Amino acid sequence: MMTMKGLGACPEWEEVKIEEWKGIWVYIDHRWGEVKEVTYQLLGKARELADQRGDYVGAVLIGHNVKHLADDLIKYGADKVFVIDREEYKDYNPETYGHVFIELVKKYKPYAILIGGTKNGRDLGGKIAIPLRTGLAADCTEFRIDENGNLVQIRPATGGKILAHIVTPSRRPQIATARPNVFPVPLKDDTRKGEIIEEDIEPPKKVKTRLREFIPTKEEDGRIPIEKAKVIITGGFGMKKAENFEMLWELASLIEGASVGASRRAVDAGWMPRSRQVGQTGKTVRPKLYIAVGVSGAIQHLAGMMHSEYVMAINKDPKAPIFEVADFGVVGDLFEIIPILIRELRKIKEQRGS
Amino acid sequence: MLNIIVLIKWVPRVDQMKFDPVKKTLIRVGVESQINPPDLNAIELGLQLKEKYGGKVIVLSMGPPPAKEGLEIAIGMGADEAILLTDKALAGSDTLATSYALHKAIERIGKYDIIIAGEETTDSSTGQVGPGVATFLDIAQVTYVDEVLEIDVGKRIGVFRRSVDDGFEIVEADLPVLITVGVGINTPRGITLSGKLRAKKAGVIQLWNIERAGIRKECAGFLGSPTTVAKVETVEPPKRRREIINAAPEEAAKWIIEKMKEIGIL
Repeated sequence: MMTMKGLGACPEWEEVKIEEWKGIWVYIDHRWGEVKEVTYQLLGKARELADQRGDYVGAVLIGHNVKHLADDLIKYGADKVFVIDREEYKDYNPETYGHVFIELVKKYKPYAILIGGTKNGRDLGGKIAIPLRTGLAADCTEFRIDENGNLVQIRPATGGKILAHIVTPSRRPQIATARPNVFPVPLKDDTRKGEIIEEDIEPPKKVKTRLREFIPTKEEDGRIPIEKAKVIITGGFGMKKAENFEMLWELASLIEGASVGASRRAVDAGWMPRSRQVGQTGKTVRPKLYIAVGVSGAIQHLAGMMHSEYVMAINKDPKAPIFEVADFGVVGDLFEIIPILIRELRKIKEQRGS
Repeated sequence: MLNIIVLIKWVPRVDQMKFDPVKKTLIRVGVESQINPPDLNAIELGLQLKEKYGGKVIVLSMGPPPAKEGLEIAIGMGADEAILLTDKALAGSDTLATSYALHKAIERIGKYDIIIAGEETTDSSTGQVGPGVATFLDIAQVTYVDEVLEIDVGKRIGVFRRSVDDGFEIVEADLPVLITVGVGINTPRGITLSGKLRAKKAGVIQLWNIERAGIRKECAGFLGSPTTVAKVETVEPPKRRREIINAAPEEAAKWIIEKMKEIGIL
């Protein structure tokens, strides 16, 4: 019999028989019942993989007063929804949620677990994979099943310059976090039927972290989220201060479907909310036109926008790396160019309006 | 008094890697290395906490011998001691095997109240090793910290602000705790001349092999890694038009509008 020597050979690990493991599970990422969109995106992908394998899709719903969400999860592709509802699970906590997962995995032996690559999803992954001594692939952008029946977890590495195909051949479950907004949200099928399985799992005796407070990002009325914008005007550190972003909003108001984004440095400086950050540690976007204003173009930034259809850059430094990935570049002072651009676009709008 | 351990990684500068369009591979020759950028913030935070609460900062890294250069920088910035975990048996470690090896070394170091790591590396960008180490050690973990609000050494509690997708979380954690931080949390200091000289002194930077750290060979490196890279594809960056102009503002604005019309935006 062939053994996979070299992978997972540590004698301290419990043995797994890989053929016993069935079910493609999706972690339901939510805050107090408000489900994150990446969850539906992953249910769609899990459905596709499960159909290929002749397997089921399981949704793992941990929280408090969340059972009512189960029907929707079924309509988006789940066959089984595992509901673990307890007051202690009201807030996301890596220790308690990780503990629940470990208990469920021991009982049901899933083939794979897909987790949305939000901050909390990435916080949780290791809490399941490490105690089970199994593989965890980060920030995947594609999944396939190979000829050996392993899940191929495809992810960009070295700043998006390569795609690595990661497999976990001799351990189960195969766990991966997936980048949000890569997979489409599947169509909701109101006729789908599924099973709701309620499990009562006690929390661990001692929990070492406690959520004291959650401060939500303020809603911005009527402004298009960057992941839905046709045109994104992104301001970088060259914008110099928060007030100067008003100019970009004004510009955006003159272009149909346009919204405003920010580089990591601009967000770290507190000029724009985290929800508008483009890049490796922010959001991945692919608009029709991406306009980088005062953005130098660090590789982490490029990783988040390199697949935009067209890229335009305005920067006073002719050596800024952003110009290397730009279709159209203007070397110049944004504080001179943007106001003229606003004036000219307004003229065009008035002409068309009359 | 706080015993602080900072985890750092010596990484290649991915921004310097160019794509070879003929061989369809990444050109790694001539690429410099550096301390993973948020790890510099982790060192800075460690030093600030030491200044505030007293104690000691030990910087720990794992990698081949050239990674020692990163530890020299850390000592140059003001860290007290540094350890490079380096051994051929560690080659091929995935995030689980890396977390396993680092936690063993930390157990050998013994005393610690707070462990600080960068939130992710620029070369692999998994963000998994920090939480992995915390899980192996079975201590509290707080990731994506953008502010340390309070450390109560007496009560052995830390309060941190985490920056998450939908806002901020204020999390209270028992010590010892492992936190991960990003580049926005502070501005790393430079190295001092006295620090630079200290880094050359015997014993300040120690090299540990797996025996020294108490790591089992069959659980380290490739052998202790459940994942493997089955294949690597190079991604050819999308072809760009690269039309760059350097013109007066009026002219530049008109050109931008023309280009927008050309691609059907206006």
